[in-house]
Amino acid sequence: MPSRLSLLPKEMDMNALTLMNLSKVYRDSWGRKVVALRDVTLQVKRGEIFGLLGPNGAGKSTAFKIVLGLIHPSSGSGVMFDRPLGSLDGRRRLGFLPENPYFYDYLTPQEFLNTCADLAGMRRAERRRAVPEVLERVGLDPGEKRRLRKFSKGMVQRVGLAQAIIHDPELMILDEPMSGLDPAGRALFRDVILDLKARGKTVLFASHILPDVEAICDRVGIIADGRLRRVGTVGDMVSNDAGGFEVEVAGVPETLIQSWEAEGILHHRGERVLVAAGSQHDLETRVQQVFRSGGALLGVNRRQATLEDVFLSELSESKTQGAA
Amino acid sequence: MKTLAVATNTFREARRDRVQWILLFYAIIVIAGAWVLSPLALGEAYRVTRDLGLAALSLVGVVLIALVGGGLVQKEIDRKTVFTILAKPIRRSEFLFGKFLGLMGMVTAVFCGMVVFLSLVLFLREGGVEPAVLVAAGFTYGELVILTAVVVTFSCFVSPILSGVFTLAVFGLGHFSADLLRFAEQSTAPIVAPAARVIYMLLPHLDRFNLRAEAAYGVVPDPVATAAALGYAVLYSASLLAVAVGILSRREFR
Repeated sequence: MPSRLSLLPKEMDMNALTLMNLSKVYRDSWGRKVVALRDVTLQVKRGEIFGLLGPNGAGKSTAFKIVLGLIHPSSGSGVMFDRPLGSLDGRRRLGFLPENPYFYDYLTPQEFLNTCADLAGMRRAERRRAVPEVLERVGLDPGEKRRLRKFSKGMVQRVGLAQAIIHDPELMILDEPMSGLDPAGRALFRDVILDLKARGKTVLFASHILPDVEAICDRVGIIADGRLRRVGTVGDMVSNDAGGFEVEVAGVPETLIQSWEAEGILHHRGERVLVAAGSQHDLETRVQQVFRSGGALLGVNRRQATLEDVFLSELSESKTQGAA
Repeated sequence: MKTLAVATNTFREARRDRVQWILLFYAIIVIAGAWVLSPLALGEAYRVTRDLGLAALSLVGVVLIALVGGGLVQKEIDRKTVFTILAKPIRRSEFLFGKFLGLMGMVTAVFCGMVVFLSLVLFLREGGVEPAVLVAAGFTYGELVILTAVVVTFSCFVSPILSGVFTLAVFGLGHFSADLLRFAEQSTAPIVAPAARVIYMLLPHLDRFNLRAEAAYGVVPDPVATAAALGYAVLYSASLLAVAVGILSRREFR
């Protein structure tokens, strides 16, 4: 990954967002240090959809909040459209949907969106045109009269997306946009995000829903324990990450099957047993185990890795490094 | 413009939160109080009504400010609406002034309602409303402006309940700030006297805004005293809001 010094101005110009060696350390209520972000360097290119994957507490929301200026980094820096992170100019070109959004109970969606449009600096005429348009775009009735407290979680999420895009920003940061949505809602969100990309917008989003990430992202970053562990296209990640092997055996003793089950590598049990081998070395070990136990080796198949495999493997590696 | 958007939003939320019921509460206090106390007032019934009406303006006003204003900023943080709002191109100072103005708008609307009601009661009992009553009500409004700034400041760094309680405490202590100064002047202890002076300087001098006794006897304060009180309310509130902006600007929203 390029360091701060190796980023040329031209390269920065091509990026919608550049984070350079960003770290964030909190103090908890006992005064102990909690590292939320460790030396994160990342470039999100203009016009791309970038997915940030990570478990809860990995540092995704912390990174977003630093970009928005809601919290300050402990070290490192960054730019958003060549403006400092959190700057007023930067935020003019940004739309943000927070995780599990909650808005004002007593407002109708139109009132809330009008306020958001006002805050984004839109003129009255623009606002009048944009509010119904954007409500329709996220699948809500532009004439909706109910207040937001009567909305379901999925509907609030749609209002959240509407407020993020109402001023037609160049960069959208969406924190878990698909959570709480039904399949139709997820499909609509995917369509909106793809449409934004088609119009040259940049989208950075965090998600737990890997099929959505796989389906729409140009590039993906995997973050765990505050560290950005990998960045690349889904295709690169999957092809670079051999999915390992699946070994088909029969006649092996129950004790061996149970030990595989305990290791979490048993895929199927019955007359024929399927067991995973992550690497060549693992494969050799399984084969030896089968022969030593008097079982029969029926076949060995190479597995195609999925984004989920890559993600889980990175998490497991992160845990191992953390324990060490 | 952005400040106005936040103010409108705050006002609309507060209005739909049924705070107008506080007006009914005020009406009950004034009518019930006048009805119960008048027979005991030995021919001073109109003074009792004026005094009670003006005192209730101040008390109901501060309760309203503590209840609604306590969570003004903190609730936005707890509910995370602040993430959505501050992600827009708005300065934290604009956000805070908007919250202040929105709350002030709501306080003003309820206050005007209470003054109209008091005037109606006085008109029915006395056949008119003396200017001294309206001037005293104006001074009470000045007090409420200061207390609105107090609650907004507290709400930037403590919980909604504590903000409300602290505001009520400032209201109580603020009315005894002159006593605190007298205590400081009489005290000989080396630490107590300067500490009492510092607290006196920091507390709002709300007793300046209590013209109930004058109103009861129809005395209107001279213009210099009125201007001084007005200037004090503006300066104190502005200084407090500047402190609040400083606190909010440094605050991290995790």
